[in-house]
Amino acid sequence: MIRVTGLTKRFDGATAVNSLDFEVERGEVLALVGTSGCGKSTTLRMLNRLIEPDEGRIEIDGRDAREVSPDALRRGIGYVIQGVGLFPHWTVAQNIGTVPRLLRWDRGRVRARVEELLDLFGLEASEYADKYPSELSGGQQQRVGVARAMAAEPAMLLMDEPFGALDPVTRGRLQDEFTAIRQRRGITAILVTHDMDEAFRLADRIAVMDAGRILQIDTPERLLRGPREGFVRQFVGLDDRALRILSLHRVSELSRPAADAPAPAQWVAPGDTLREAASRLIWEAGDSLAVVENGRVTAEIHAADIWRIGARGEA
Amino acid sequence: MKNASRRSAAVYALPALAGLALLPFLDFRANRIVSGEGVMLWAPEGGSLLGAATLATLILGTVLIGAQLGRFVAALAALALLLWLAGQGAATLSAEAPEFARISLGGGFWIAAAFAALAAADAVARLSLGALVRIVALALPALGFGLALRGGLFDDLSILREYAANRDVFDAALGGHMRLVLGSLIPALLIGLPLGWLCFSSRRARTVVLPVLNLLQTTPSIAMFGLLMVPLGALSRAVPALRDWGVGGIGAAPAIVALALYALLPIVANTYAGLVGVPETMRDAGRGMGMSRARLLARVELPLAAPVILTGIRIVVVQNIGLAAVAALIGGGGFGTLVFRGMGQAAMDLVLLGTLPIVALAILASLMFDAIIETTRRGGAR
Amino acid sequence: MSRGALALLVALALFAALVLWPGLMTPLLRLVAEPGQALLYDRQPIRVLVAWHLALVGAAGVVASVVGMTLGVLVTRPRGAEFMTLARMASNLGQTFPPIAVLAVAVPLLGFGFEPTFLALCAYGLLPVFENTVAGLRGVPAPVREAARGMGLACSARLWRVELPLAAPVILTGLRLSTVVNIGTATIGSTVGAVGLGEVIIAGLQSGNTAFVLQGALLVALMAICADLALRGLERRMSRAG
Repeated sequence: MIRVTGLTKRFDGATAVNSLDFEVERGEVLALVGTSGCGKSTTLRMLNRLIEPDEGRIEIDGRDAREVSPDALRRGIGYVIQGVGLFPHWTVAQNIGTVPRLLRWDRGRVRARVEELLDLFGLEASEYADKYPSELSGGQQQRVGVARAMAAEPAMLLMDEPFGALDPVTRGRLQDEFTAIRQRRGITAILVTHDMDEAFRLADRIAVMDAGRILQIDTPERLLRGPREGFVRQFVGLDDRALRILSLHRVSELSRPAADAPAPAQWVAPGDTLREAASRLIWEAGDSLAVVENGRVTAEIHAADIWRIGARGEA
Repeated sequence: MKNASRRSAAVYALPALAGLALLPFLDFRANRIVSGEGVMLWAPEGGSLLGAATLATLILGTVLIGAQLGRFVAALAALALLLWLAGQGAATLSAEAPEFARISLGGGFWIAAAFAALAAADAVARLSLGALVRIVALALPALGFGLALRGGLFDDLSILREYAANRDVFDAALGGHMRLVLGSLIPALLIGLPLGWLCFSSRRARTVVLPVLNLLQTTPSIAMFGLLMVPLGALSRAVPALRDWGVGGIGAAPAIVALALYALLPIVANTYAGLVGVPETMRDAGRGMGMSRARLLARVELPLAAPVILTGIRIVVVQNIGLAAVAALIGGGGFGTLVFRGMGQAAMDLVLLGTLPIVALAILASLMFDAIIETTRRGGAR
Repeated sequence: MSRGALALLVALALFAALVLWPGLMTPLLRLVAEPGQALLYDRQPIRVLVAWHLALVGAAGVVASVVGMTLGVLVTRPRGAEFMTLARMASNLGQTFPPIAVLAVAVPLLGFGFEPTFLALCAYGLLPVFENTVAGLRGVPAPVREAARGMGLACSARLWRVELPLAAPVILTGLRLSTVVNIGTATIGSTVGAVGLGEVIIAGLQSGNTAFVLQGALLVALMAICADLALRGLERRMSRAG
């Protein structure tokens, strides 16, 4: 668990980060969002002391971060940096093994861990371990970047625009992978992004920052339903908030029992979002849609239920 | 592409043929002093008609053959034939000439040899071989040449007569030259690398160090040697013990100091540039994962900067191999001794005996460094 | 006034003073001279030597820049592209030839004196100009070239109005390197009989007169520094505009 109180940083008299307070529970992902220059990256870099705070306190699992030497602190925190930052002169395996080697794990253990992580990220170890970063695609590099941060089983991950440099399709796929890995492994992370959609997709809670302050910190849904006046409203974007809320929910949450039957032409899967279901319903101009698993109808979903989730007041 | 490389191959072949057609292949002089008479390639004492025809065919082959490997082999064969014909021609000429006659290589030979060598190098470059294969491809012919040289093929050429007469001086010059180059390189590295790092980590240091080194680099070599004579001469007068170490106004000491000073700018500037060129994200990643500064420098920054730093060292080595020749003017030894002595006596062969090894050393050094730089790039800036 | 301009002014003033009134150096030269030796080189007036030195470097510089730039432009045109490998290789090889070797090889062709030195200076000065012309033209950003083409500028207009002005600072750097190297090479040229400041140094070396050596060395070094500073200043102006 991380607890931050009164965190402040000034550069040449200008306050970049102004007295922040927040907590991140074990297994939780917190997103720091805001425009560039709002202090989100500075905040992240203070957490592993790449930047020393001027004031305030950072506790990690009850321990003051200042009591630990910066190098030791950083070895215990995974860091995924903007633009991947893989070492081009090291192989994939060497890159992933960086922190374990710094921690003097024995070779066998490092190798086993590298293979485990490559497997976790869907990269065949025998094929990729000895490749150089320049031989990988952008998406593969990014996966290795995250694997490298997770190598020494850190208590938490700090992620600075982790998928920022990727095309939308690859980015979406990696975001899904990250969510899947989270569900299997339980990751505690603080994520910096300027992309609200990414924050909605990955984070349990979102802190909207502006001018060095946190304006609002809440779950995605509450942020959409009750954004504060001013910057938060503008940044969250209210025009399509109904659709955004729908994309936070799954079909399985609303499905009602239905008789077993072969799949019709139009259907949804239980794992699809309500947004996808709504889109299909509008297209078909129907009242309900079959929920299909393994080619058979298992349930159905009603338009009225979906509209209710997307409406004001529901939470 | 084929047509294009064929046209540029013609650029080597035509001057080679023209040189052979218009300029003497060998130069015959009754003694060391008188001016010579040219012997053309097709003359019976030159290469003879058969030799000339074969040579011309090979040279044309470098244009007509499409495959780069074939082109390379043809160019090498032409080079080998050129050398063989020169050796044979010299032997024929000297058999029927007085004892003091001198047979030297003529303009035709030099031009043809230079362009054949360029054609071979061009073909190798276009084959895009790995560094090691390239070195072997060039080392084998060099080895062949060395064996022919030892076997006495060229003994009748005046440059080798000159070598035979000056063997001691030549050997001393080789040793002296190496001592000047390596003796200046090592201190320059020991000072230059840390200084480059200092320039990188401190803006203040940079604004002082780089302009001063620029000033040193600007100073012409003779002037530098001359200026260093004064303080070193004074030093050896003040501390006589230093004279036993060879420190003095004249000799190898000022030359080594001067060469080391010249070496500093490329080493410092490239170390600085190499370190600056390491992307900030690399440093961020390393530090963010808990690398200490020393480890970050040793494992990340230096390896990534290595190609640029090595390029600086390559410049220094090639440059100092050439500059070391000037050191002979202040008694520093090296191949310059032969060059200046040759110029003093108007003995061109002696000048060549000093010049050719310098050029050979410089080419050898740049090939070696190119190979090393290429291997350090592996995985890196590909 | 900028620091560079100030340095140039000081160096030029010092150089001019030492050339016009060589006697100014006597107190310094006395420190290094053996008793009884002549202090100032008097076989030729210094000013004549400086004039010859400058003429040699200047004339060779003009030839080297015209030829070097022309070649550089040619190999970067689409039609000349096939000769790029060739030209770069020849230029790389040329750089491994030390100036003294070029001089030494020029002597049998042209005899002693001005000519071999001039030839060596032209040949050796060519390389940096050529290399930097190629580098400068290649360094013109592709979007800029595209834009020029897109606006319908003809080949020659693109070269003269867009590419060369943008490459100018880099080309000028080549010219500076070439000039500075040539001031030094011209000094060595005195060993093959070229008239110039090298004469003073070599006379000093031959007669064991350190005062001559120092006098010549100071003047040559100052000349090179002046040239370097002046051309650097020009580079800075060009790159500001470009």
